[in-house]
Amino acid sequence: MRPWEAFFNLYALLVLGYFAVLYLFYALLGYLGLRTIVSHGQQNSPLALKDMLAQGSFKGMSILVPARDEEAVIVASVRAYLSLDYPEYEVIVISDGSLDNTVATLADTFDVVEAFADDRPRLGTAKVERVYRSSRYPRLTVIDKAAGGKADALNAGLNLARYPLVCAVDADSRLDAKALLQASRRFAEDERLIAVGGTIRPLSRGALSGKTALGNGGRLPRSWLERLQVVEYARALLMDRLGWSALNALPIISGAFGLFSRQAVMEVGGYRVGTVGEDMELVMRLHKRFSGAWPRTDRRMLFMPEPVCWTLVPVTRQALRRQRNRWQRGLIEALWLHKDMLFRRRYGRLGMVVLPYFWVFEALAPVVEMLAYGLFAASLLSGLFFPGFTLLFLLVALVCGTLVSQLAVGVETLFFGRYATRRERLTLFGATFLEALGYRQMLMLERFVAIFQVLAKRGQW
Amino acid sequence: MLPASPGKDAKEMLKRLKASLNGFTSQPRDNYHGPKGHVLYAGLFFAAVILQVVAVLALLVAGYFVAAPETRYPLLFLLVPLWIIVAALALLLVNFTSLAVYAYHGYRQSLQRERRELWAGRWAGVLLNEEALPVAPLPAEGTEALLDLKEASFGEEAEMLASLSSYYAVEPALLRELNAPGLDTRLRALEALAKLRSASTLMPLLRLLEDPHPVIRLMAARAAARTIAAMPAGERERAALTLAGRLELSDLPLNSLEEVLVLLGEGAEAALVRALSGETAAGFLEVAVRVAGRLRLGALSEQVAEFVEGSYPLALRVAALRALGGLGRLPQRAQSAVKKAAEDEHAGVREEAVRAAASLPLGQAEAVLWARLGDSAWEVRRAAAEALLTLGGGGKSALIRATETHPDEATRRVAGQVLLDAGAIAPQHLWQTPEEMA
Repeated sequence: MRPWEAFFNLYALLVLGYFAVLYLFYALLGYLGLRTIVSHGQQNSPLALKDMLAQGSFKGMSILVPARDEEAVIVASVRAYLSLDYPEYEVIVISDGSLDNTVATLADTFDVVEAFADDRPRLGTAKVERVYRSSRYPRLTVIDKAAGGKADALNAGLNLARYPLVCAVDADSRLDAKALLQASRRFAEDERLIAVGGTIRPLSRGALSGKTALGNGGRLPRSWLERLQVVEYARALLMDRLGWSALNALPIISGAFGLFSRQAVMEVGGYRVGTVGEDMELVMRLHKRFSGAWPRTDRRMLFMPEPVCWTLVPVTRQALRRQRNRWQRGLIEALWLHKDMLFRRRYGRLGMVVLPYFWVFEALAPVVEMLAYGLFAASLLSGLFFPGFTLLFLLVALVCGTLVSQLAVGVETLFFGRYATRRERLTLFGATFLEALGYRQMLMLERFVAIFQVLAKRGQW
Repeated sequence: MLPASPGKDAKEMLKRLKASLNGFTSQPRDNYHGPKGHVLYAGLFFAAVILQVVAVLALLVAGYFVAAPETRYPLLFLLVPLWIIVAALALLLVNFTSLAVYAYHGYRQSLQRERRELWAGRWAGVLLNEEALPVAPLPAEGTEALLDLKEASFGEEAEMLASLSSYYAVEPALLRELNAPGLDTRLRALEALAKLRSASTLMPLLRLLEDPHPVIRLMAARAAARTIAAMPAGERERAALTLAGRLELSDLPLNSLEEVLVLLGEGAEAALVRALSGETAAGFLEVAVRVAGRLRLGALSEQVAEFVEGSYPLALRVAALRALGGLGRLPQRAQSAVKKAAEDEHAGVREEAVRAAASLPLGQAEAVLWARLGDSAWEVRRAAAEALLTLGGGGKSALIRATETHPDEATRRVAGQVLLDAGAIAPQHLWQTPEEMA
């Protein structure tokens, strides 16, 4: 056998094996995720929730809303956050160097007055110009600060937060009315809990403007690009996050909706400024601080399927590619910053299973997949075409991937009852096939590019 | 047989009862809210999945036989990844099967929810003498609707519904379900028993505090606490002591234990007295202190005040001070402890001591709080300012004076902000506004 034939043979086998192991992982995580969904449902006693509300068991919460140039949506967002169903909370909007009229719009709409500065021990942030409190809505605080990035804005919010729980959200998101109650009840029931992640789902633009009620399911977005992201979010959040949460090794809580113990976050120094993936990086540090062999504090982080945050997703391919580029860079940065946790027994399943998985099957997946497509092209050009391997690779990479997406869509529609009409459900099911025909490949290419950009560390929204 | 839709009076009564339930009716595991025709969608969905899996397996086999001659390596190298793919497909099939089972259960639960609403209308009609009594035995939905209404009712209505529960032998049926093999069935029975609040169910509930499943233990503890809270005095306190003893050994999270003890209401006092005075594990002791504060059990203030002393763990001292602050009245012994704690080296202790100091006799309270306005820790200053405001006119005047004359600028700021946040003063009436101070 000629050397390059041997190389093609070996690489083809490795790629096949790689995707085989990847889908075995997906299937395992899906199994764990399903069990977790059922177990969460079993623990959700509405009678207990009613009692806890009557007894005043819920801890106060500070909702942090970092915003930059969100003039168009900020009022509607803040109104939505101010009308959530939760006993005691505040909303802190942090304008991070907005160049538009975000702050002025808030000031006019909510009658804010300047507040006194306080001298609490703080996380270092970019200069806070002014702090405002609403005279009409005592729950609302607005921070006007110099630009410093999302992590910096969140730290500024943490500095002023008054309550023991903090919830980081996006300015263009909507929380389900009872999302905070569902998420925070675990804190009321279990003192070991330091963080809870909730489900993120793409929001249709009609719902954002109030033209469509969110209701139980929201509506399926109109564009196919958004619909494909619905499938993707369902797969990633319901199966991936739930699976790792079941192992008590959750590596990431989305920055669009995460609840944290303020004390725990302050103890690890808040969000890390200058990183792109500040959400994953924070969770890594929390694991380091609270899960190590010494001092062992037996703390937990959970992902919960019921509390839902609806968020806007990119509607153009360019915006989508930019977003996924940023996510890939954030992932690699966070993994690199905490590479000392790899294969360390003191970090339990996170160090021994989850982080190696993320390195091999998340960070490097674009490389493997792009090289696989390159191998296919090269083998065609060189005349060395392996139809058998090609068929097997396509079966594994495309069809198995479609089945995994269909499982996630099945959970969304048949279990949670989302997207209530038959038309929406069938459309979503159809999207699972389309996902494998170009959409996934486009994102893989962008993630592949991002790997080579990872050294450029700048905080981006 | 399903009851007919309720009449107008029954609907009004139902609306009122439902509003008092505040939406928390028996739908804990009713995850499915699908449309009609979901059966068709589910059928199409699973048929498509099965077809794909069969097609993939067939193509895998075909691909293997085509690929085998291509490779120059031992066939084993090709078989290994193929077996992994087959394992992944098998596990995916298991997942889809589980999904089908859960979806079917969810669909049945949605039908049961509809039936339960109809039954709720029927029971409302029975209470209004518009409907005849249903024929025994009751279906599960009828029982759940009955208990939902009982949970939301008061006075005569509640007594009638309790009588109906006895008439239809609801309790024996639920106790049988406690031993059912399915976890869902047992949890539903526990939820129902929590609403039933029948004293004769207490022993079976207490036995479940040793169940290996933590969710069962927690639900049983809640049901037991609710049952005990409804017992007559005397019997209630004895039962609460028994429950507390079992809770200590139940290996439930401390916060969950706290919630259960709070459910006991007035019945908790006897159990807390024992927990606070005997040999109690540190975690449970802290829980007992917190519960005393949340239930505002003033009779326990002297015992709680003991744990303010410096020799106890910090978390316990803070919990004790917080509890004293919630009790509203401080006996003599507690007053000295609070004043001493206001000077403690730990800011967390000082903060809670300052909040509790608002319950000192007026002159003493003002003196302690004024002194703490200049504390080195922001949280203590803020707590002192907020506590001063609760003292009424005198406290508010002291705060305004603080904004004008206190030598420490940080204190002037905190005092001003507390006044503004409470709406106790308009910005233009402050000696220095935030803008001027900045």
